[in-house]
Amino acid sequence: MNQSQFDQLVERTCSVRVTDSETPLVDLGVDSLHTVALLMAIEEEFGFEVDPDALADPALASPAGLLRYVHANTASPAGI
Amino acid sequence: MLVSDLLEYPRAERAAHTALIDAEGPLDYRRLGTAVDRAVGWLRGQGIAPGDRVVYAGGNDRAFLALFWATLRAGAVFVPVHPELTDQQIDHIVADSGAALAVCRPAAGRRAARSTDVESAWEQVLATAEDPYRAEVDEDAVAMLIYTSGTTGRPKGVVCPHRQMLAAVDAVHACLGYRADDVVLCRLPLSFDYGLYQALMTALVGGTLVLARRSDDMGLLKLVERTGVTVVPLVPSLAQILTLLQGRAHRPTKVRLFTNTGARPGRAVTAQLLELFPGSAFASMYGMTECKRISILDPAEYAAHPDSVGTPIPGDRIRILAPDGTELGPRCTGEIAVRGATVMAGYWNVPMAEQNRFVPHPDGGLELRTGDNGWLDEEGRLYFVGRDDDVIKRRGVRIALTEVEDAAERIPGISAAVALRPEPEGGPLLLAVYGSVPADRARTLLAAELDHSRMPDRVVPIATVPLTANGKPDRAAARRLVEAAEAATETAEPTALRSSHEPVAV
Repeated sequence: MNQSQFDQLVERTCSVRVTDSETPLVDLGVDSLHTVALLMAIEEEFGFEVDPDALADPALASPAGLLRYVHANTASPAGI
Repeated sequence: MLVSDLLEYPRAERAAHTALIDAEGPLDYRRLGTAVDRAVGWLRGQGIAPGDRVVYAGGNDRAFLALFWATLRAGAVFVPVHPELTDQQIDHIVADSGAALAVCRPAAGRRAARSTDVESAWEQVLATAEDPYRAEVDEDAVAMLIYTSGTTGRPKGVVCPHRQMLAAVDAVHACLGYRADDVVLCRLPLSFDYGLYQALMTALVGGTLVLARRSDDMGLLKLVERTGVTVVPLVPSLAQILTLLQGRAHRPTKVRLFTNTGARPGRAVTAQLLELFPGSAFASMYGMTECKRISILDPAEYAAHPDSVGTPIPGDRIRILAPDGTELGPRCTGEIAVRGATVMAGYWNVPMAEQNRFVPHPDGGLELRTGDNGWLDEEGRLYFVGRDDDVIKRRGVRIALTEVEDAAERIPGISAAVALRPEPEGGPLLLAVYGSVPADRARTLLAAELDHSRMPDRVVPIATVPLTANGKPDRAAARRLVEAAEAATETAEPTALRSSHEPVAV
């Protein structure tokens, strides 16, 4: 999945518009409930368990950061 | 008695029991007490005397609670501030409260007599000698100022005396009965009264408080299971988070009681929650910072009266008022008015004539005009209907639409702004702006002024400012203009596909 597809997943799940993939989720207006919904959607989509502390790292707390995290945790990072 | 005396019982009788669990781990009452003693010494070393205001903008951890208990024991006034507020918002509270000490980001604390950031304050506290000092102040002395949004102007500080706070703790305890073996999950910010009172209620019985933060959300259920949480105070989004997580994991937990105040989760969510956490009950409550708690529904009555927020807590009385101020009978909807032991002492620094919500009652004391509409049934159960002014709940925070508008109108080039009440409740917050500033630029500038709860989801330029006959912004007309503008850009909207995890609006 590329960044643009991933941003669409974020937009669908969180009802926000991703103006810049590097913008932190909170600044995109994603609230706590939608954050959890997004992480659960990621677990379902990519089939691995998200570390509950993942978002504590500010570097991961944006759509771009999350996608990097997904790629680091999936067997075929280039998979579509 | 002072609010801080609540901690003396568990310190003496339950010293080895876990007082709190935060990101650092567990802390027993003996060690919490020692930290409070050090914090008292540190505060007095900073020159803090009885009556001084101490602004504190920290997260949910032991440092917050040690400084809270210590400030009250030193006879000073604790002013909690949500750390995610912007520097400008905190600066307003620092200046309005006349803070002698601001424990917050340096840029926000400039107007306090002294200022230090949260981390170094805590380091200094831990390096200070224990000080057993307890101020001799009256029960009517001010314990806290809690800033909250009203219908007009910037947030105002609700004056919370020791007497009223203790009355609220006792009354809520009489209804909910927290127990010594309870483990209470506090995912709500301690800077909100609903969160902070969890610490008071837990200390009253010598139980355990689990302090969680937003970053703990994904692991919340594991935290509940690992720490043996028995009581969970909710806001609607938290109810939905727990439902999502438990709906997938189905972990065994010891949760026996959910409480809720303010906006309620939908009935379906509550039903799901009770089913997913077998053995739990649901206490629906109503209140506002101006008098803490107003009513609580006995969990045993929830099944029969799911829409009620319960009967008045002991010591409080509720009247339903018509617009002309006359009292209405059962099943008539009007403004909810409250008087009794938990009604706070008005707003800080606001003359009595301008207090609005606090009205002197002929029987003595103040009556709180809540601005909320509701009705009572024949048995005195309260039903909350809604509000008809410009105050909304967003992300669990009470905000005034005028705050958003005022912030926008402070931006050079924006001559008028109209914030639209989200429809349905929990929907996106739209701000219509009139002026020479492009919407993107206005958004960027607003982000420096407003926290996430008050930040509009979209800023929509409009070409004219509709006014009502008496010169106030005409929100209905502005809504039509915004809807027209939004419809014109509709094609740019992302397609709204529903996924299995997409929650309903909060």
